[in-house]
Amino acid sequence: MLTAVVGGFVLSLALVQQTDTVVTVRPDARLEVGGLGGEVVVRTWDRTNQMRVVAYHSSQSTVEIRSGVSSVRLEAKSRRGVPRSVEYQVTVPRTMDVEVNGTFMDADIRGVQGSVAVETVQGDVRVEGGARYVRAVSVQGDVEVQGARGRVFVETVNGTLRVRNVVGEVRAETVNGGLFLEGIDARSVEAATVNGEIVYDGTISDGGRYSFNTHNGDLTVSVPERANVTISVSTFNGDFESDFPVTITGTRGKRFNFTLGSGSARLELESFGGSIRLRRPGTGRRR
Amino acid sequence: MTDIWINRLSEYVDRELDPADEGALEAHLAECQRCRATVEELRGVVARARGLEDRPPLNDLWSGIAGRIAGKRVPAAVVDLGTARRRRIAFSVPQLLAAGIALMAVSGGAVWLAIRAPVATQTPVAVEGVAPNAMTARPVLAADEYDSAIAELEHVLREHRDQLDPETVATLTESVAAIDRAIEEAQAALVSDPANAYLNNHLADTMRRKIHVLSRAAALVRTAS
Repeated sequence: MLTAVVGGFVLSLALVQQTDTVVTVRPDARLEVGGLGGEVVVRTWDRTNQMRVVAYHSSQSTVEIRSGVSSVRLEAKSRRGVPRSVEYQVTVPRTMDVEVNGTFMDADIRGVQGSVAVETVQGDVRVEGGARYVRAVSVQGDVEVQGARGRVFVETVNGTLRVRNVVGEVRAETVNGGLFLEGIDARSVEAATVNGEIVYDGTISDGGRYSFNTHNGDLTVSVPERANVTISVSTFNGDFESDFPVTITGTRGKRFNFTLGSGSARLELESFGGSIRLRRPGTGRRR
Repeated sequence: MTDIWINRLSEYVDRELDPADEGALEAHLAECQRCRATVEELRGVVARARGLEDRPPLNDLWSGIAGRIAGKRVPAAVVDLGTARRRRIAFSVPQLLAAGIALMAVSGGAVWLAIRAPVATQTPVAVEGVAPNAMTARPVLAADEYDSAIAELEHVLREHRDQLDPETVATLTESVAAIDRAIEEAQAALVSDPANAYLNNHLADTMRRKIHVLSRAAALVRTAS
């Protein structure tokens, strides 16, 4: 804790220079931010053709704002190459698309109604909002997407993925970490991890396709009472339990299918070594 | 600055970008030779992949093989294609390039079993209705290609690990080790239950995951260099 406080103090001393400017932008333009390390915070405001850029960086570096026809790019530079750390606080028109690309970078983007794409190597990603297409990717870090509408892709290698209150299509993948999908309204959901549990609480739409796969971890899925879904359950060392009665057909060891209602949706539940649980909405494991 | 479009080219090739992004990317392509070249490579990979035969899992073959190894005839299991999964595989640029190689390799975990089971590989086994060559030739190639892809990607990571942050290398190494453990467990499970369609698919998925993570590592190396 003390280390973190001291570290933060040292960092704040190092990032003494502040850039603060307002630039004119097209409301349909794309904001592009790239860098090595630091943090990118994006917020929105009601202005439709202006963007404010506040950046904290070392006195040896500068932040360049390059405006193109369809994009505005923020890029930090110094005489020694790419600055190690820059903290951006950018306020943009809601409709702008946002794209962030970093290495040792955290990203926190809220309120955007355009598409959002964030990729970092070491860092956490948090996106609240976003439309059409939201992509949030890290290698070492947690990723959270909330309130997006459209196609959502979240991925990390070592970290937890959380997707909440999303309307659209969801794909989520990690290797070491759990996956928590809650309040999802989607016709297509894919979630996979190697070491970690998966929790899904959302719609099972007629004709939809839902796939959940973990190697070491439990799988808890909420199935609405009137769902029309064909469910296939597969495990090798795990167990299966359901909050409600089901009539199992096509049993082969620990693999079996059953149908609820017309069975028009497909739900695949797979856990090599963990337990698979079916719940009613709102009763699944909460995180 | 990293080319922000580089990881979205596969979506462009797959026509998965929304119209606004597609338009922006096409404007970028007009100016970026590197991305244009990558798009052409990706289209080549996709064309090659489309040319591959879309095979059902080889469970039916393996059950026959297992039966003959055990000295008894086992009727080939009928694979319900209606329930066969068609997972969507989305790769970024380096992943898609690797996938061109890996596609043949990971089409079914039974391939792995078929080519590594000593009897099956050393002694051609005739399965009712299936010519021996049809069973042995392609899987061996697939395994070689898979191993080759893995070896190449591991080599890239090993040789250039100093270009990545040690913590990133540790994360990737641990993750690959976790995947390897999962692969070993799935392989061991398949030995005890070779006709298990879930295990076959699960093994294939897990192997694909390894390609995915290693490709990601290779992409990071490329970006860092």
